[in-house]
Amino acid sequence: MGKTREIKKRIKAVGNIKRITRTMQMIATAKFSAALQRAVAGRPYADAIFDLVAEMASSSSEVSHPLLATGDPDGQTLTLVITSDRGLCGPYNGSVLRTALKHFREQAGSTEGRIEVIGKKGANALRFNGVEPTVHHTHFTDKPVYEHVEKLAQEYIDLFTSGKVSKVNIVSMKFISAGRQQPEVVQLLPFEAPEKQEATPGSKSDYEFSPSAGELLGELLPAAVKVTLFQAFNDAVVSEHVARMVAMKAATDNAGKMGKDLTRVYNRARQAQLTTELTEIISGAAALE
Amino acid sequence: MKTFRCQLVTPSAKLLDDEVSYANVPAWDGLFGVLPGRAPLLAQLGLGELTVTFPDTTGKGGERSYVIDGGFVKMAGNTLTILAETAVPAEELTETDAKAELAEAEARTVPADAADPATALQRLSRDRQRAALKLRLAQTSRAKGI
Repeated sequence: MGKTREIKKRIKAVGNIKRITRTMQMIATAKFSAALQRAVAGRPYADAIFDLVAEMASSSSEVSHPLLATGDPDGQTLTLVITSDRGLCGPYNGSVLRTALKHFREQAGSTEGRIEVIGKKGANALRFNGVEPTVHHTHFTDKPVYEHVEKLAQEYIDLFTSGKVSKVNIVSMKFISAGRQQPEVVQLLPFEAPEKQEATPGSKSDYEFSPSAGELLGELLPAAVKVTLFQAFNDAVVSEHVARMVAMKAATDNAGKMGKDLTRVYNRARQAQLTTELTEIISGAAALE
Repeated sequence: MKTFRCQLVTPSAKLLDDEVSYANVPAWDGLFGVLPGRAPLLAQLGLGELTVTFPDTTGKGGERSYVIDGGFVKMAGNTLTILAETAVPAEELTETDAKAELAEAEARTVPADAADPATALQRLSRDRQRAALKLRLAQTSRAKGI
């Protein structure tokens, strides 16, 4: 009797967990499509900015700008690690953090530099691994706002141009497709001008520049840096939701399978119990005869 | 009627992608008009009102305005691409919001401990100008009965 009741309890518990994970999966799906839409909406702007930078860089032969200059090799580095505030999203935070820790191990001196982190999970994990983050940004939610990201990027640009920091790296999850995300380390500053695509000869138009080409490039580069950072944020958010979606789908499926197995065990136990009871009754009656 | 393609994109959205017959763009040093077939141009944007005029043939006709601030504009191959850091359609502006924004910007002062008082002041006066422009646009669009 005791055994069946116990199994019944477990079946119920598994069912409840399944209900929760299924809800989480649906929420993650909805959030994922919203985040993806936002990320896609921002892509034309980013692409156009990069195109412009490439075009400008190719049209003026000698490109020099403080943001392109290689900083002092022994200078302080700044590393920004983008993780999520919430867990239950499969390997998402783990793989970003593994990449970050690998980066810290391989790049000598990067742990002595400034380390900034976004997301509670990252901050806790880094502390646990003996890396104390200099700054933990908490005001970034899972809907990145350009104005906030722009402010952060401006801060980095100021730090870089004033020489306080010689390199800025971002460790975050890159969103390649719904089925593929990859953690990577991206160098934000000094900015690497995008490669100019092979322009077909003759198509190169002579632009009228206002202000002059040099000044325009000077204004364009910070915009390109800002939009790169913004894209990293968008990618991170989209990847987080995808990871959660996949993890929760697996959890729901597993809970369903477990429920089925448990029901089978329950039925078997109940049958065994019935058989025992019947045998007892029959043998009891036989003894009376 | 001759037209050209006009795209208005911001970091978070694509606001316009349509054939237009005229665009009045606020560059960093003042307004300039763009007509179909304009020579290639790359310019920096300032704060101001962007107005695009739609040709009548599409049935839409009329004009549309946006408050834009900062960014770049590129004209190439009869396509005008406006990359604005911020852009708000005039019809989304309301007088009360604009008034509140203006009051907030007017009330703000440069903090005494600002690291760079000159830039802070510049930013503040820009915020005020933007709010004033929004208010003016909201009032005109109300007057027009939009």
